[in-house]
Amino acid sequence: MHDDLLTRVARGDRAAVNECIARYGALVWSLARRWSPTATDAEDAVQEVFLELWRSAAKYDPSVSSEAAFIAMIARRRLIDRRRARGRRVETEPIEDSAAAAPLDGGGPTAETCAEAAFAARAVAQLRPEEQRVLLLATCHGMSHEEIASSTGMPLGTVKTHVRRALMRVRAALAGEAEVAS
Amino acid sequence: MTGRREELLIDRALSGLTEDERRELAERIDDASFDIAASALELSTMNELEPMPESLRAKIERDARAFFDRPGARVVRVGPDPTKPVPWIVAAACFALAVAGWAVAARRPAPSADLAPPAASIVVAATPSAAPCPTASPAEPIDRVAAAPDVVRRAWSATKDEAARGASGEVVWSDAEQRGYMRIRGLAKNDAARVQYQLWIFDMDRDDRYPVDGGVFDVAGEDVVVPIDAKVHVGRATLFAITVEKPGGVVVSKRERIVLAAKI
Repeated sequence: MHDDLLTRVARGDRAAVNECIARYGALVWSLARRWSPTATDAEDAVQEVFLELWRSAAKYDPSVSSEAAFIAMIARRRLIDRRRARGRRVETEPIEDSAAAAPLDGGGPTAETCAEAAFAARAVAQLRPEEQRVLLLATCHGMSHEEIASSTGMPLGTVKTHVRRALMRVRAALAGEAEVAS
Repeated sequence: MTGRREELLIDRALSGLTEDERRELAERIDDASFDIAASALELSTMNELEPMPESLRAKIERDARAFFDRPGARVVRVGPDPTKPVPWIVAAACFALAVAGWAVAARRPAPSADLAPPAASIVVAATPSAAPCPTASPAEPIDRVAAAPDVVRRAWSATKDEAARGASGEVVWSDAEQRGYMRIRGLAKNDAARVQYQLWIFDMDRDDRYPVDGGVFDVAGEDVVVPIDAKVHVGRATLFAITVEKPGGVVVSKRERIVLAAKI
């Protein structure tokens, strides 16, 4: 039973801990690789993420999110903190390439393991192109508002408005899907 | 227009917060929904997941063992339905008789590939009231237990289970401190991915069918000292017993593999 795993981890169930590593190791590693400048840095990040996960497992609430989304959240928080500490943004592929690869129709392998990913992709697909662009730059490329403004030529205030409005719409879409599902 | 709280939540989800902003958010009601939305969005853009390198996986597993084995860490209770009674009182009686020096015949333990093969029956050798085993200089929590006015020390009695062949040591416990430790020598090392040892504390104030879970532990060396982590208050400990269980332990033991016991 998938949503039972983190609850068992929180109780110190060793088998659950090993199963968690096996099931979500690739997810955490892939996120770390995306956000880290080197493989070594990514390895350090993964270690930190899992330690934070062991500490936070008791906070997991299956009524709020899937395990994959919760673990991705833990990972992103840690990765974002590490990025801030480094003082520079993550080097990633150009937005055009990643945008083309983004399964904005709701597909993609990760959508199979995390329903929220599919819902989020559909929500983003309904945004205006400039909102999609800035949201992906902020979310998946770790760019600050200032960096987005600089690279896109948009006024800083417009970037902030676009990012916040777009993320609120994605959040609302997830909440709506959750209501429908329940 | 977003309120300040939502601004902070969104910024946390996308780019993190400064220390001042963290403090500001801490004064407001937290909400992870923006973090979840940002995480879901990022997951939707990941076409393929890259397997974690094996060397890194081994590190993560080692870190996890260290984390969950640290003093004060909780250990798990998973297993069969706790509402199904197990005749612990029978097992407890066997132990009580055994440690007093009578041989007790019991059913053949199930064979296990995770420890040395078990014996055909559980027969406990006569156990005189042994003098306490010499102890090394203990850590501070152990010092406190050892100095407690009601501290009790009892030598372990080993069963005929192969894992307990040649095993010895002592259990030290204080009802007043609700703390204790076990020194164990010669118990078979376990593969924690397959089986773990679990301590049970029989309490005079509780039904013998449901002894107190004293914690799950591993044996990695010839001589180990293991703190006792009683999950609930022990009124008056009367018997300590160690069984072999599945990883993470169980809520109620089936007593199929009993390795050590000590009567107070």
